[in-house]
Amino acid sequence: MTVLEVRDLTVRFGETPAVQGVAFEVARGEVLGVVGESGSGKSVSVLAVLGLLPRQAAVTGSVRLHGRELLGAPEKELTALRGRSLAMVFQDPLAALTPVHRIGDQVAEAILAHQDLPRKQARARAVDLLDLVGIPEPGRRARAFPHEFSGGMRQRVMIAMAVANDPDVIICDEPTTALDVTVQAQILDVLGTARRETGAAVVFVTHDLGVVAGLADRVMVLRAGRVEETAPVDDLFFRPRTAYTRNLLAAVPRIDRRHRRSAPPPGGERVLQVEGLVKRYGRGARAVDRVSFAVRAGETFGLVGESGCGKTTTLMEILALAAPQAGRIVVLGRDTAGLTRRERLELRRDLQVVFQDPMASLDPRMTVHDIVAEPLRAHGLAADRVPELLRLVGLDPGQAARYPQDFSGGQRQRIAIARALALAPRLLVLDEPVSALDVSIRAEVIALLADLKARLGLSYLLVAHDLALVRGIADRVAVMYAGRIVEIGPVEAVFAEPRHPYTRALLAAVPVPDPARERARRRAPLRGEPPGGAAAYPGGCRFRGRCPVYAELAAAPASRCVNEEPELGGADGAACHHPSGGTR
Amino acid sequence: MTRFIIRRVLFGVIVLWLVATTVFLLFFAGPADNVARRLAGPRAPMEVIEQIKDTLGLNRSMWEQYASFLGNLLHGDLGISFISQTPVTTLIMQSLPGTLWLVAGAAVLWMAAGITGGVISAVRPRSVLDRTTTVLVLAGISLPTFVLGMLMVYLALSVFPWTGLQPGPYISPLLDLKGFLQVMIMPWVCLAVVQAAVYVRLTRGSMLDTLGEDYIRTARAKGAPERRVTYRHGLRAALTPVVTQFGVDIGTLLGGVVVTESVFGLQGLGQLMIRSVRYGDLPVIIGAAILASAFIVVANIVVDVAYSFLDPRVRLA
Repeated sequence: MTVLEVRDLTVRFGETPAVQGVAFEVARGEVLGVVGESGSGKSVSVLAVLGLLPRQAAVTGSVRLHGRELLGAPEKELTALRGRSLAMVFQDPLAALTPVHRIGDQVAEAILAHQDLPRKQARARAVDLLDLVGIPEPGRRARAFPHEFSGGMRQRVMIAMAVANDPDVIICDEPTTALDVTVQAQILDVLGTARRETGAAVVFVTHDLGVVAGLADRVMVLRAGRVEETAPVDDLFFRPRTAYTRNLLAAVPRIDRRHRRSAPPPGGERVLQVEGLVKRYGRGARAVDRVSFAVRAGETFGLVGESGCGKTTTLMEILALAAPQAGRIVVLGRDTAGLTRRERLELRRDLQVVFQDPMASLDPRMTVHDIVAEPLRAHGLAADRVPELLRLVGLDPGQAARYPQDFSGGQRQRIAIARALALAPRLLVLDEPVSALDVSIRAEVIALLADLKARLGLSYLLVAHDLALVRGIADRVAVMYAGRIVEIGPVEAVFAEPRHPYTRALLAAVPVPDPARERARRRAPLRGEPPGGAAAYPGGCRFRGRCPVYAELAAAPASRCVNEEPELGGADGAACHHPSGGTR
Repeated sequence: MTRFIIRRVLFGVIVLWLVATTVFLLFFAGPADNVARRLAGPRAPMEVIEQIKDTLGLNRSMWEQYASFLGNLLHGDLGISFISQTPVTTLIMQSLPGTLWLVAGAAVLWMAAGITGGVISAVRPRSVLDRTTTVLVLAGISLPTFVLGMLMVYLALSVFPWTGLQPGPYISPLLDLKGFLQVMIMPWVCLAVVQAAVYVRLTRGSMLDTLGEDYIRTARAKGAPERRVTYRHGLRAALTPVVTQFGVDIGTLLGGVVVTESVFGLQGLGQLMIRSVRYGDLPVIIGAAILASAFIVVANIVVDVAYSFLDPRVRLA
C-alpha cells in the first residue's frame, strides 16, 4: 500500500531549479534509499515533502500522503501532520537538538504536540521512548541537556522523537553521516527497531552506498536535481541501467576487496619515527598514550580509529616538530626535541600537511597563486614554481588569479595539495584528505595522490576514519583505540585477518556496497561508544568494556584483561591478551 | 558556582580598588600647593588655599593621604562636598532614587519593545514589517536624546497640557504616585526609545542566526506550532547576547543618565555629576565615579551568573 507518493516535484531557489521532476513512492514497511552526490537535490527533495524548505523556495508538483495533497496545504494542516504522520531524523545530531532544553522535555514536546496528554504522562512516555532507542538509565538521562550526550546518543534521541507518535513515514536525512562506524551500525539497528515498532515507510537519504545496500528495498539515484534511475536494490547494484550509476558504484572504495599494489621498497629509510609518544591535555587522561610507529620512505602509512581515539592529536604532535611531553619523534633522522628555531623551519620544508576541509583550510581572501606561493615566500624562495605546481596537481595555471571559492571541492583540495608540495617535501601528512569530498571526486583525488607519490617519491602519513579508503591506498596501517595503538601491520594482513577484537568489530561495522553480502551479514554491532578524549581509563585493557571476546571469557583468562594492559609486540601485531577469542 | 561568584567578587573588588587609586592619583598627586590651587580655583586667596591644605591634610605624605583615603572609602565615608558642605554619601543617596527609577522603568520599556521588535523582524525578514522596523530603529539610533527629550517636553507642555506630564525633579512614588508618574513617564520613554533601537537590532541579528539552526528545523519537524518554535526554541537560545548587552547597559546607565536627566531636570546621579564637575566638587566626583564603576562591576557579575541559567552549556568556573 503506497503511503507517500511524490510526482513531478520541482523546487526552485530564485531562477535555478534545485530539483526537477522528481517522482517516487514508498509503501508501508518499505525502505526507499535516496542516493546522490552533494548538490544532487536529495535533501531538498525530502525537505520539500515535509514543507520545511526556507520560504524563498518555490515548490511545484504533487506530494500525497495517503492520497492527500500536501503541497499548498495550509500550514496548520502540515504542522498537524509533521511529527505525527511524517517524522524526520536529521543529519547532524550535534546541531539538531535545542541546546537549552532538557532531552526528556524535547521528546515530550514531540508527544505533546500531537497528543492530548497530561505533561507528566508525556514525560513518562518520553522515558519509555528513550529506553526503546537504547539509552541507558533513561529516567536519569532524560534530565540531561544535549551537550551532555555523545553524537550517537543524540541521534538515538532524534529517533525517539521521530517514533513518538507512531508515524506512517520516517524520513532520514543522512542520519549516520556524522557518526563513527561502530556507532553507525548501532544507529542503523535502532532505526530497524523503529521501523518494526511503527511499521512506517522509510525514506533514507544518504551518500553512502554501503548503507543503502544493507537497508533499502528500492533505491533512487539523483543527479543534479533529476532522477537518474530508480530500481530495486539488487538491480541497482548488480544491473545498473545508467552509466552514471555504474561510475558511482565503481568509484566507491571497497573494504571487502583486496587491492593489488606495488610493494614499497623493502627496508627503506625511516622518514618518521614515533616512539612512546604521550600527550595529555591539562590534567585530563592521556589523549595519546605511548604510541610508537614508523613511516618508511616511499610508503603510505595509515592511522585509523574512531573520533577521540587520538589519531589527530598524534598528527598534531608530529607537525609541531617540538619536544613531546614524553617519548620521541624523529623526522628524517632528526629528533624534534633538540631542534633550534632555525632547524625547525628547515625541517618543515620536508614535512607538509593537507587538511580535511579545503574550504576551511584555504584563506578565502587570497588568490590561488598567493596560497600556493605562501610556503615558498615563508622560506625565502621565489614564487616562480607556482604554475608548475598547479599543473602538477591537474589545475590550469591560468586560473591562479582566482579565489578558492571559485573552485569546486575537489579542485580546492588540489590547491591544498599544490600548496603542500610547494617546498618539495619528503613526507606528506594527510589528515582525512578526501572525507569532505563526494565519492567520484574522492576517487580522482586519491588517484592524484597515488600518482604524485610515485612521481615525486613521497611518503604519506594518512589519518582517516574511512577504512575502505585506507585499505585502498595504505601499505601499512595502525589501528588506534582510546589513545593507544591496538593493532599494527601490513594493510592486507590487518584487513584480511584482523587480530584485535576491536579491529574485527571496526571492519565488520563498515557497510559494503553489495546487497547480497549485506543481507548475508549477521550484524552484531559493538556495544557502547568510543571513549572521548577526556575519559579516564582504569587499569587493564581499555577496550574490555565493549569487547565481545572479553564478554565470553571465563573468569581466569578475563582477569588478565582487567589487571594487565595489553601491549603491542606479540607475533600478532595486536595489543590483546586473547587475540583469537581465547581459544589459543 | 559559589567559587565562581567568590572569585568574580574578589576580581570586582580589585577593579574598584584600581579605580579608586586612579582617581586618587589623578586628583591628589603632586605638591600640596598645586593640588590645593587646582581645587580652589586660580583666583582663590592664599588663606583659602591654606585652609584647603589643612582640611584635606594635603601636607601629609602621599602614602598617608592614600591610606586615609582608602580607609574612609572602606567605611563608606566619601567626604564632605566643598560646595554644599553636606556629606557626599547624603548627596548620592538623594540623587540615586531618581536614576534608579529612571533606568528601571526605561529598561522594562526598552526590553519589551526591543525584543518584540527584534523577534517580529527576524521571523519575517525583508518583509514590510521588518523594513519598517529597520527604518524606525535607524531613526531611534540617530535621533539625539536631547532633541527627542525637548520635543517631548514641548509637546507635553504646549499641546497636551491636560496629560499633566512635565519635566521636574524626582518625586518619590510613596509620597505622590501621580506626581511620580507625571514626572517619570517622559524620561522613561525618551531613554527607552534610544535603547530599544539598539535592542531591536541585536535581537533581530541573534534571532536570525538561531532561526537558521538545525534544531529549529527539528522543532518544526516535530509538529510544534510556529509560535512555540519561535519563542521556546528560537528566542530562548537567542537571548544570550541580548542579556550581555543589557547587563553592560544597566551598569553604565546607573552610573548616571546624564543627557536624559538634564533635559527633564530630573535630579539624579547624572545631574549630580555634571554639577560637581562644573564646580570642581572633588569629593562628589570621586564618590560618583567609584559608585558608577561599582554598578558596572556588579552588573557584569550578574550577567555571568545569568548566563549559566540561560545556557546550560555554560559552566561557571
